[in-house]
Amino acid sequence: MKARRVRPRRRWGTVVAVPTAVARPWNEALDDALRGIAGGLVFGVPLLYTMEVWWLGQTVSPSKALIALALTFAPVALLMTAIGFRRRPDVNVTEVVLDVVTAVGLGLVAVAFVLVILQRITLRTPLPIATQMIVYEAAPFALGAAVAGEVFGRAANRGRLQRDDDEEEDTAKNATLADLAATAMGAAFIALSIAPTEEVPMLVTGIEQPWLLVLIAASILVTYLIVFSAGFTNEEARLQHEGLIQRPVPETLVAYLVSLVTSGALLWFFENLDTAAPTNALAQAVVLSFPASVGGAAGRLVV
Amino acid sequence: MSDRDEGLGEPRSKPTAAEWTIGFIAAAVIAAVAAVLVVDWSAGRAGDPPMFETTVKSVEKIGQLHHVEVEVRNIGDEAGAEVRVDAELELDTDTVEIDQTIAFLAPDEDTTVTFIFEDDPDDGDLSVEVSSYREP
Repeated sequence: MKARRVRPRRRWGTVVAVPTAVARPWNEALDDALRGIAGGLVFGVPLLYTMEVWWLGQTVSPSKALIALALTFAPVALLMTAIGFRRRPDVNVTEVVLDVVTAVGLGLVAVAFVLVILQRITLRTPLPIATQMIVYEAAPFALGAAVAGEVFGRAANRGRLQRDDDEEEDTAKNATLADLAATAMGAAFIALSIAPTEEVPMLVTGIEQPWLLVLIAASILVTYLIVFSAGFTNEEARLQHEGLIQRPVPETLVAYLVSLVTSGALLWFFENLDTAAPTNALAQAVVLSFPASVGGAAGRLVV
Repeated sequence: MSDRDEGLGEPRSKPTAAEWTIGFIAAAVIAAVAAVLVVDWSAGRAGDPPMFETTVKSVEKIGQLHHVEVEVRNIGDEAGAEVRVDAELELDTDTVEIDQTIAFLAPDEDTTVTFIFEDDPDDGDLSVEVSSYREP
């Protein structure tokens, strides 16, 4: 077997060779949070691109939004009891409550962040309206956060076992192609349901250029976090993964480009770009590339 | 060891201080969200139906045509859908009418629509108003 070079694990911009006793709980807790956010994005991002859900949040009464917030806890608690996004062998009621509250809280924060970068919530949006929009978008997000560890843990594990089986044929070229293909497939899987809708051009009309740059940065960040920081899979093994572009930064950037091109191709396929000026077409691709990046990163976890 | 254990590392025993800290922050976020909703509810926000304010922002001649930008704002307490905006330009010899429909306007939300006239709006009386809407 060919010897592979093991690089030190890099997290949050610093090299962490051996986590200290103090740092480990925080790293694990942050990994849990990132995993929850990533899972929430995979499940919740299509609804973040659905105008009817924005409008629902803007039109319901505060009392109904309050009930919706309360009801969000029930299915999340059910999923937490059955699965949980933390890795505990036996859980008691207190721990389930802690996990549920964390998942719902993460959902509210992450959804607010996405709605802001999509400019669905701005400084001019009244606070009660913004709050109601966040509550309605956070429900599916929290469900995704609840099942994140289970779904992606299994997927990543299956991918690793499959990789071990195919190790004889695992050349750098094959590994690179497999990653690129998985990124494109994952990106298409999520973006396919959003590309033909009116939401993409509608979002473009409401987003100014600086926010498009923020959206690109957020897409790249999400891609990096899901694959290299969220602890879905063994990151050391991932760093050893052979391939022509498989260093975290180039891999992340190339994966984003693949997601962006996939987004453009889907928009073209659904004839959303037919009458668009080149800058508008690029803006549409950038807007769609955020959910596509989430899908692309999730796709790469299984490779 | 289960699949999940293999995929996500060793199972943990009890919540750590870090997990409690993140949990408390999450609880504070939920409490803040609930507080906003309760305050809004007790203030009885539901009141005025959708009401719309129109403001002509600019008139610009582009080529042979005159582009009139109009900001439409919902100053009511409820949202309106399919908001129809009518622009009427009364000239000495003629009256030109154009309408546009805005899909949705939430309370306090505004959007800008543009009407295009062949005639110069300065040569006549321009009026812009919302003529109808639908409940979402």
